[in-house]
Parts: sequence; structure tokens; C-alpha cells
Amino acid sequence: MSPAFAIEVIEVQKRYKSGDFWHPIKSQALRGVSLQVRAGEVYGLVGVNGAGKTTLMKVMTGLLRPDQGRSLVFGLSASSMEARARFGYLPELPSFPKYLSAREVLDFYGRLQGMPDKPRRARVAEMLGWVGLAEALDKPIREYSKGMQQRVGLAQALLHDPELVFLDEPISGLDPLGIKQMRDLFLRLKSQGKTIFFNSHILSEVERLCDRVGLMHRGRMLLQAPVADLASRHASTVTLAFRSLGPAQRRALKALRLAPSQENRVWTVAVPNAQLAQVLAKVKLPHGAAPTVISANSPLETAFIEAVRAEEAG
Amino acid sequence: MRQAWVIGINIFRQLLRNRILTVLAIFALGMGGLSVFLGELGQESEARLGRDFGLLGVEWIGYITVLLCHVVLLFEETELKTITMLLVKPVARWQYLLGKLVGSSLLAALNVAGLVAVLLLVGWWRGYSLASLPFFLAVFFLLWQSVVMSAVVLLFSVLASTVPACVVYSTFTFFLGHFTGNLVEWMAKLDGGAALVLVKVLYYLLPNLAVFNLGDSLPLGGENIKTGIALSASSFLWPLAYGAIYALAVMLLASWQYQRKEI
Repeated sequence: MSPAFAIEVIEVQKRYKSGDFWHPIKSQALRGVSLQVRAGEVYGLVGVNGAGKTTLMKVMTGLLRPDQGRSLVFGLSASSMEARARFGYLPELPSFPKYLSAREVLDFYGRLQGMPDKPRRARVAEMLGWVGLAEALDKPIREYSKGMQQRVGLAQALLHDPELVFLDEPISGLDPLGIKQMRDLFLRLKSQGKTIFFNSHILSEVERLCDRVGLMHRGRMLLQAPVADLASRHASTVTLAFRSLGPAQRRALKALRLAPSQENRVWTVAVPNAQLAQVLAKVKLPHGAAPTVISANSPLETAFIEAVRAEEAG
Repeated sequence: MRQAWVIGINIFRQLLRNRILTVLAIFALGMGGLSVFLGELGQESEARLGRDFGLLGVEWIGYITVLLCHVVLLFEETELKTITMLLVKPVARWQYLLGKLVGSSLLAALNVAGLVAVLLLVGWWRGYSLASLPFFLAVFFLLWQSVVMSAVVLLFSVLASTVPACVVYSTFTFFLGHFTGNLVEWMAKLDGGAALVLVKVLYYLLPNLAVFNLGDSLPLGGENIKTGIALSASSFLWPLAYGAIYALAVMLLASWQYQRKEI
């Protein structure tokens, strides 16, 4: 019987030790994180820098051993050889031995995956062509840009045609064309029924590409939900800034269940898109005192901000 | 084992292209030139000096090669984080370490072969020959010593995690390893106590590198060193077995530590 989940993380805790023998410093990176990812799902893990996303991915790929809890890939221990043969992994900012060419690097990884000679060579050429490096495949990697190295990293993750792919911040460092190619890649992998797990702090891309998202903050999983559910529960909002806001206008906003706040003499308030016209009608501003739109938040951004605020408020 | 071999060959190719290792080629040529220069100045026969300096060069080039290999690899692992993509493949950590041992040893063998070729050319130019079975056996055992030292450097690279610490501990061990015979003499002179315990611990922990130096035991003297081997088979088996057991013990310790290490 095949396992129900491609990835299953159960109550994982991880603590890092740093400092020296006399002054040890311990920091809790993961605090009882659990998640499940079904086969064929695209799962995006979001969180600010230092939230524990990369640590969680390292635990899931077997690079780190959790202090407590378990991490399974297709029902197997993440560090087992059987599990490793079934997934690919792209670390954040991948780097390679600089005196080897992309072809040699991929050939090496293909050998480690046990791919036979002839199909391996064909697959290496195919993958390098697919990531747009066909003309640079015999150049030493030291001559590659960061974006090109990211593509080699992607090619090595997909070389053995894995059922599951872990991608750590795959979009960071890419130019607009690279981001477009990455989107196309996601769609292609998704159409092939692959499971994709990726970390990002670029919420708009996660919202656009994922079936389900997890929100992490300070080592905790704050929220997991299908993107469609988040979109229905959390409206898109705009944040308006007012140079002045009298007591009557503040009362009008509160009557609309909005909470204006003041900082550096400027009033700001997050307004759902659907309420925007109503707000402008109710808050009667003097001529020439129209508010400024300082940001527009998607449902995922709104959900993320709300979840983080709730967590920090205790 | 197949995985370790694949990793070893890849590391060998990667290091072969690294420009740092061209320094070793210059070192090899320098050693050849020095033996000629000293041969002309010295009282002893030029062939004997050529042999002695040659074997000294073989020992040093072997050690420096394996040290540089592990330093370069440690830098790439810690600074460039090249290791993460490799360790999520179906590769056990001990296989990766064994691959590093294989790759560094192959490069040491290549560099030693290069130096031996230079020494033989110098001898041919100066009118003597080093090409004899005893000479090649002495070279082989010094190369075997480099394999043992590669395991030692590997252990320190795993324990220390920083390049300077790895270099200092390894070089300290390399020097002390030549004097373990003196430790036996010290033990005989000590009556007991903490000093004796310390010397004993050092004696058993440090590699006895004198075991691999057959240059003094082999009948290599004279103008023409094409003499036969006067030593018994056991004289060769002991350094082979000692080196294998010591390297295996060190590799097991390194693997145990590396398995626990957080990447």
C-alpha cells in the first residue's frame, strides 16, 4: 500500500548549539512543527528570514536530525537511501566545484543516482538544454553567473526524474526572465504529477503557484491551508495613509470595523478592496486631503500579517 | 564502495584542475634541482644524495598533496556549501569520506609519480640511475604513509571544521609521527605516574611514521643502486598491515564523528 502522504513531518523540534564550551548558546529553530503534503501537491512554505524554513527543509531532506519528532518521505525515513533516490533538492544559492563544467557536475550526480551511462548522458544534455545552458555546458562553473548556477542546481535536482522536489528559495536571485522560467517549470512539473515543496518569502509567487501554503514564524507553524481557502477567508487589502484624521473620521472607520493606527503623525488603516469605496464615502475628507495608498496586500499577505500579529500578541 | 569510487574519481578530477596544486609541480622540480646542486657541493656520492633527497621529497610532496586536497575540500564544504547537494543523494556519509581518501590518495600518487620521473631524469642526466626495485619499494611505502596521513588530515578536517585548525593539528601529528620511536625510549626512562601515562597515550594515538621509511633499511647505497632486496617479506608486510589498520581506525572515528555532524 502506498503511503498517504509524500511528506509527513510529525512534531519536529530542532535546537542549534553555538558559542563555545564556556558560553554555550542554544537557539530553538523548530518548535513542534507538523505538516503533511499529499502526492502531486504544490506546497509553499512562507515566513520571514529566520522563521525556520530552511531548517525544516534540511530536516525533511535528512540533512539535519531532529531533536524530537519524525520526518518521513513516502513513508520512509528522510535519511534512508530509498527515500533519497525518490526526491531532488535545490538548496538556496547552490554552488558547485568551480573547476568542473556543468556537464561534468551533472554527470557526477547522475552516477551517484545510479543512472546507467547512455541514458545518463542523454538526460544531462536534455536537462542542461531545458534550463537554458546548452551553449555553456562545457564551460567551467567559475565562469557562471549566480543565476546560471541556480539553473545548474535546478537541473541536478530534476536529473533523476524524482517524484518529489524540494526547492529552497528557488526564486530569490533570479532575474524576471528566470522567474518566468521557474513559473513555467512549476506548471510543467505539476502537470507531470510531481510533488513540489518550496520555501519562499515572496508571497505573491507562493500564492500564484501553490495548492497549499504553510505560514511559519519563529519556528512554529502558524497556519496551513489551501490557497483557495485563504483567498475566500482573507480579502485583498490596501493600506491607506492619512495626513490628518479627526475624531469623527476615526469613529466612521471604527464603525466599518477598521482599526486606524497613528505613527509619526500619519494615520494608516488596512482596508479590504471591497470596502474601499465605502470608506472613501464615509470618511469625509476636506478638499485636497485624499489618502495615499502605501501598500496593496494579497489575501496571503493579509493572512500572514494577521497570523504573525496574533502570534506576537501572545 | 561504488559510490565512494565515483566520489573519489570526481574529487581527483576536481583537485587536478585546481591551480593550487601546480605549486606542487614547482616543488617537485625544485627538489630535483636541489639534489643536483647538493650533489655537486657535497662530499658524498651524488647518487646517494639524489636518492636521499628524492625520498625526502617523495615524503613531503605526498603529505603536502593530501593536506592541500583536504584543505581545498574543507573550504568548499564550509564556505561554498557544496556538500548539501551531495549528501541528499543516495550516499552514506562514510562513503563520502572514503571518496575523499581515494581522491586525495590518487592525486598524491600522481604527484609522487611526477617527482620520481624528475628524479630519474636528473639521475640519467648526471650519469647515475635510481631505477631499482628497492628504490621503488621505498617510494611505494612513503606513498602508503601519505594515504595514512590523508586519513589523519581527514579526521582533523571533520573534528576541527576550520582550515587553520586542520592544518595545525595535521602538521603537528606529521612531525610527531616521526618521533614515536623516541617515545619508547622515554617510556623506559620514566618510573611511572602521569608523565608515563601521557607518553603511552601519545605513543598509541600517534601514527608511527618511521615504519614507512624503508630508505635506511634497504640496500640502496653505492654509485649504482641496482642491488637486490635483502629484507624478508615480513619487513614489507608489517608497514602495509600497520598502515591499513591505522588508517581504518582513523576512518572509522572520522565516519562516526561525521555522521553526528550537522551540515
